[in-house]
Amino acid sequence: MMDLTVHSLQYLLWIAGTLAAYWMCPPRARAWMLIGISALFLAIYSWDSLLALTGLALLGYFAVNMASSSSSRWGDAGLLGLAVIFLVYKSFISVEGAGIHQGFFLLGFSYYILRILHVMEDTRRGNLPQYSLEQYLRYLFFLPTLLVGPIHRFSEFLRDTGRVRWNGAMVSEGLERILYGYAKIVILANYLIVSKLSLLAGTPGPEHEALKAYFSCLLYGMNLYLQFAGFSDVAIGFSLCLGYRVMENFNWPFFQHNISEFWRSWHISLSSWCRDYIYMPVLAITRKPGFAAFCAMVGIGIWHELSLRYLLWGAYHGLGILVWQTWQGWKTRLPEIRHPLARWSLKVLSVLLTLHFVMLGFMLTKEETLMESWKGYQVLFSGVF
Amino acid sequence: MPHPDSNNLPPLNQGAKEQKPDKLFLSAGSSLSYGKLEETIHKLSTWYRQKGMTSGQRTILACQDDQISAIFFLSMLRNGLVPVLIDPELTDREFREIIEFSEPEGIVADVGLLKTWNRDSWISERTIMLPVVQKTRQSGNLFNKLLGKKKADRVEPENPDAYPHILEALEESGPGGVQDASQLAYILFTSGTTSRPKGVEISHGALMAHLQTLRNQFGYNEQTRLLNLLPLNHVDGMIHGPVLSYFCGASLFRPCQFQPQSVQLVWDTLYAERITHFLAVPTMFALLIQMEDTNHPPLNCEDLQCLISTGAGMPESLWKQLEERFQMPLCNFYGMTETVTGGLFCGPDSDTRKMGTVGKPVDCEIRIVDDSGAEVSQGTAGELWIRGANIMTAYHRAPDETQKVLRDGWLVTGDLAQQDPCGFVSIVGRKKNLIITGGRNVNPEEVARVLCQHEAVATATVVGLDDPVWGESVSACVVPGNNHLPDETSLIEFSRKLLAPYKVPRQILIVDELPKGKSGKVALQKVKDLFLNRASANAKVAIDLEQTVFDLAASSFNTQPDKLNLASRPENTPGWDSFAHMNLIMALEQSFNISLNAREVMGVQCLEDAVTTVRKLTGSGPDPEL
Repeated sequence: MMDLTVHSLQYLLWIAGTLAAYWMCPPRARAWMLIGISALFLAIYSWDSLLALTGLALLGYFAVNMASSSSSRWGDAGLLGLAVIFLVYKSFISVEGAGIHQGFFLLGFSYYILRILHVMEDTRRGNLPQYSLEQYLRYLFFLPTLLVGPIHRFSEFLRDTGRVRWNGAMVSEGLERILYGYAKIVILANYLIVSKLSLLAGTPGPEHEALKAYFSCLLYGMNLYLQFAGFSDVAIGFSLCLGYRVMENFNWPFFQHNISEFWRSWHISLSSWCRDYIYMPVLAITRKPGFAAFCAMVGIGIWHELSLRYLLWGAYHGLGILVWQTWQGWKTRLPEIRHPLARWSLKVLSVLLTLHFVMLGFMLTKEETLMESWKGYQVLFSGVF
Repeated sequence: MPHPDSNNLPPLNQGAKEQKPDKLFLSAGSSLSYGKLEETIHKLSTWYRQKGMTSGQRTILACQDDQISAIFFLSMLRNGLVPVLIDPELTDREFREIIEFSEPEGIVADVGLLKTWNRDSWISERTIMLPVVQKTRQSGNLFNKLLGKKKADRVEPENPDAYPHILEALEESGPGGVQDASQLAYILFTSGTTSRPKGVEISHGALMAHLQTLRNQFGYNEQTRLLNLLPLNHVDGMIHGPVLSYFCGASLFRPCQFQPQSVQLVWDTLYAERITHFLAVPTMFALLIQMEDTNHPPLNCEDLQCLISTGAGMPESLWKQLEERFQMPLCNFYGMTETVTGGLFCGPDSDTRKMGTVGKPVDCEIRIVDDSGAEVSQGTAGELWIRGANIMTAYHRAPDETQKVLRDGWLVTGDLAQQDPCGFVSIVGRKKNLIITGGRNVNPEEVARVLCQHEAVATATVVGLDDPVWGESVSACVVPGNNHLPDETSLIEFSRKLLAPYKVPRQILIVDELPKGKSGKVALQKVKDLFLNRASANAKVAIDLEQTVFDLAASSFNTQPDKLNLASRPENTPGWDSFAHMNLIMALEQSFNISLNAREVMGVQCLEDAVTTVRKLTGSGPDPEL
């Protein structure tokens, strides 16, 4: 497997090459050309992922189409089968520090498996218009979102497919967005946070261990956000250049007032996927919002990695949402605060509280092992600031 | 036979002949180039000759397929044959009435239609028949099915004499052309003021004069990319579509039949195909505005130069909405089948444009007269008369009807109009008894006559009720007879068998007696009032239910009810998170004493879904027709 990052020169060349080939190609051939480029990309960087994506895509397509023509058992079996494959894969890959550079890793697997499951379930629910295999493959083999999402939706993709044409303003908007993405990754994350602020965070003396751990946690969260938001910007910009407007993935997550709002602004495409396909079904069956939210958050955790630390991280956020939901019930019994300054102060406090709840959660995923995370918490809460 | 260009008419293909063979003429599912069109017209010219079809002969044309209809209509015009356009959705009764009346020399119709007609009894043996086989998809192998691949069109092997199979054996030859301007170009049957549909005869002179008017008025040329989804058996569809595009060398787009489900496709086409001219009836415009996907930034249709409304009066509120949405002035024009398509034009030039009016006469003259035929003063309503080169020749085989509407070259429109001091004309009413629904004319007497054929109906009267989307909706008031108690559904089903879909009453009210005026005649306004009373009662139920759902949603989302509407969904409603969603579901269940299953809980994706689900589970709600 070859080394590749979204902000590498290679990927930039893939963007440029794809755009040139795409717009020079006759409109009728564009769909297959884009599928071909994505397949070539996977074949070069992760041929096993190409096989996996092709196989799983066909499996999903057959399962729901068989279901629509005969019985829903094929659809059920297909969904279950794919979910099991996802879990097996997650448990199979190296649990800690898995990456493109190490061992067996299917490029983009975590994203396209959710897309396939989404199409299967929405086809079964009758939420999608009629689509062809060509349109389905075009959606799954869509280079801009193949690597790191967003996990955009098929119905919106189909809508955009019907209106693709050269639009200078849209391409310009896309290029600008790609630039923002690179600025977030290269300038803000890699240069400012990783190279400069991390050094600065290490300057307090050894007597300020708690402060150092606090800064380290904050910088980890900020870096994570900027890197991932940058990747999403590149994907969204690249899509815009091809005439597709894919969903946003972040919306100022660290300025939200509560944990529920945070999850509607952090990795939006994943959280909305879990809302639609885990939370809502569990809620509709059990009628227990807290339990459903807990399941969804655990699902989000497992999606990142099938490990105890991510399971705990998901449960931590699930618990946070449960507490927030309970608080919503209690809040109505308290007297309303009318003074503007008090209201403003409360808002600031709620943002800070949400931010710190999220940042503290990152301690679980920041460290390689749970033991190290535990040590981190000990330092943070018992050390000196 | 004179050469087509040798007479005093401009050639119909004057725009088409300048175009490159691969230039798009018509996109309707698949693409038809100018080259392919010309080749087919030349082959059909040979076929017409082989069959002995000569200039002036009438030929029925009834095809569902847009490309085939356009090809035959144009090929007949260029060969001097007289196409008689018929809506292929008419019932057997309606077809028979027209065919028996017009006694055509030829019939070109979908093979399915020809099979269903019991033609031995009412179609002459001498009539030349050409069945048309719809383009069908090959069943293909599984791989092709999975790919959703569009297969090559094929012709059923059992129809070797059907179109398009006949083309394979035909050589190309030049079209026969037209003798002179007074020669009939086509006949189009329309619902008029008599219960029998009237065949409007249009000459080549009138057609060409009007094509030039349309071209000049709206600036059509070979760069034009026209979107027009009106049915091709309608003048605004056929003449202001394929015929005008052919005349100007333009490209025409008809991606689908217009229906509420295709609204998004229409928006996409406007944007993706860089449409320059968009023609529609107010019903279509209303649906486009109402059903545009508001969850995403509106599409910027920057290539659009002309937005044109026709077929029915354009309400001012919709007019404003359209101008705001498209950021350009709307053009409106008035005309009838009897004037080819138009006569009075409102826009695009500022001299003729004034909101709420049909503008001013272009290439024709008008009079507004009272009952005695004397011109009324400015600002006074009177009947609109039109005179010009675009006026019809006559009603087919109906001299009495023709005499009533053609007086000294003036066409009596039957519409009431008034003119302001600046010369702008407004249509203020209708003298004739006619319903215009979705841009199509329906004769109320014809519908009433059909209803009275039902054994349980003693008498019936039909009126057009104002409808925000359809302009007017066909509504029937029925008095039962012979001790029967007919129900609304069975009467609508009965009508469906005898009337084309757009003529079928959308609602039927069963009463003991029709309200009558002092003279003993049915008082149509009182009949309308009966419907309005029922509508307001139903509307109250609907509003109450919706309001309750909004109140419950507002309480669940911690917001104000007035900030919610039927289109509210989690993405555009603050506070509608997944937790609040369940609160709403439980509130609905408690308030309406219903129980939603898991699928229904997940199915509520906007407040309209919530209202629909509640309506379904409670079995309440208004009459869906109202």
